[in-house]
Amino acid sequence: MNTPHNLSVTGPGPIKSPTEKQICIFCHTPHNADPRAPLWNRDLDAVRNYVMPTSPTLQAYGAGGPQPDGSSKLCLSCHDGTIALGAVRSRATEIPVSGGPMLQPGQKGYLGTDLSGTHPISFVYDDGLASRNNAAGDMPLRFPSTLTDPDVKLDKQGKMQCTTCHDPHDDSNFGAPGVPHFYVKPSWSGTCLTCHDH
Amino acid sequence: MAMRVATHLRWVLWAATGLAMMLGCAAPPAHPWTPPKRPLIWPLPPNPPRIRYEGAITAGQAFRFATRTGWRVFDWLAGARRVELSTPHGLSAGRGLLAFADSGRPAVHVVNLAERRYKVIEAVGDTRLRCPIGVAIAEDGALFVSDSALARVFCLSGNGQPLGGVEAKFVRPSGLAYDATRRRLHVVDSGAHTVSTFERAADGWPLLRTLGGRGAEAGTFNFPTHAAVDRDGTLWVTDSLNHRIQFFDAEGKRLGAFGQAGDGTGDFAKAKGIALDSEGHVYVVDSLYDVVQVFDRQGRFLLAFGGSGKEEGLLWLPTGVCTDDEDRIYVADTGNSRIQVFQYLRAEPAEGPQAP
Repeated sequence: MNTPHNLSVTGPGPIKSPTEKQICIFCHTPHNADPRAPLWNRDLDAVRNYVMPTSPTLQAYGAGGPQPDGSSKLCLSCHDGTIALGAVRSRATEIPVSGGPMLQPGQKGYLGTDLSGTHPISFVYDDGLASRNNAAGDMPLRFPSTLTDPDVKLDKQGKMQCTTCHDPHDDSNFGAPGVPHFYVKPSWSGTCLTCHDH
Repeated sequence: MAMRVATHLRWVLWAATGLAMMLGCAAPPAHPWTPPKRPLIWPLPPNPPRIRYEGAITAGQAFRFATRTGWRVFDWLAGARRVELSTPHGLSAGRGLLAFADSGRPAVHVVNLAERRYKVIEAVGDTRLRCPIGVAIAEDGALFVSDSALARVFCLSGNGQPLGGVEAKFVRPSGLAYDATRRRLHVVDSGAHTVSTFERAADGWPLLRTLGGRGAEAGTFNFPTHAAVDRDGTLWVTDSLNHRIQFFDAEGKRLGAFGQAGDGTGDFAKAKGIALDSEGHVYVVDSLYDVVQVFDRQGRFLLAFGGSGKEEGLLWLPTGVCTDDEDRIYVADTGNSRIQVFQYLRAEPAEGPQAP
């Protein structure tokens, strides 16, 4: 796991520790079978386990709202400008988008810097959305019900998330021109054209 | 000619202001945050209440806008400027000011709580901010701002003029903590895995010491993100990806640590902002669990408040936290694009002795 997502002190970098071997815990938080009781709260249900962000119950909170949810929340808990910068690497080439899915300058974004040209996340991508988009004359979208791509996937709620285009475990596609880190496919167009009908 | 028209206009506006004040519509509310629709306290009875929800500063809310002195009334009459909040992060409260960095806009917002004035700083001199994360208000009203994308720490005067930065080679400076007693600025560098301390001198802010370096052992850090400083100079550092809080005395000697990775109450997943109240309770924001966890100085877990959601008192990807001298707790509710305000409630003496 020699990628930037190995955040343990054994990860890439000049300093390594022979003792630190837990490379998964930064995203896959270990379950604590014996949570601590809050001394200011004697209610029995105050002693509990927190719900991880990929849980369906938690995703319901973000439904219909602008907040990043699902697994994207996990990404943004580091990519907030502190542990990692939020800035998305600029694309090598621009594609014309008229009112399409790309965020326009000044639009609200979540990755901490100017998100112009960044793809939105945490929205349900269904056939209705594709129909509305195509009827409006924007760059056509394929109907998600017809998509069978093994790499570019929506989450269990049918939402586009960071993980639709990025596999946080696998950075083997990085290096080709225009291909960002952790891309699910070896080319930029191959990823985008899964949904966008050029 | 234009100046004379403007002068006349100002006199008209001054007169209108006087009229408005006589009619009683100019009295500002006590606080600039929107009060809660219903009361919220933690924990629930029969436990004694410790935290009360006070309200929120939300995107779209109106403030008077600070500008040149002579034009304040004009700005107020012209309609208060609205808060254009994107993703608030670090905060600092002091000297009647609340300042917060907004990494998404990107800008630093400064709210004058007493005078209900508000201004936005988008650039320091000619340098536009790119990813402001930390802010700290000094005892003389100066404002420190860290920008993690520019790898710079700026110092500004109270009216936004650059005073010369804190010159050091940073990788990704994030959290800031200011010790007004010792006139020291602590800068967390998440990218360098260090915390550097700068001490006020006649000619600037020379480096006093640097703590840390990457590691998991005592005194080292793995992506530290935020820091807070006590009245006695104790420095509390969120060692985020070591899932712990480490604390150091004013001489930089390590005093201890608490916390572990886990999903139980009192554990950390993505610990971020840290602050202390007047009684020394330690508040730690967890971005993933959407809570603020409260600990005592020994690291014993006292309470969690907040929770995941968009409703009042709930949080979404929160990051920074700060307190003021009245024990208000300001939480950057980053994913909800708002600042939420809580009040620490001191324990009643009549409550009886605490269990050890």
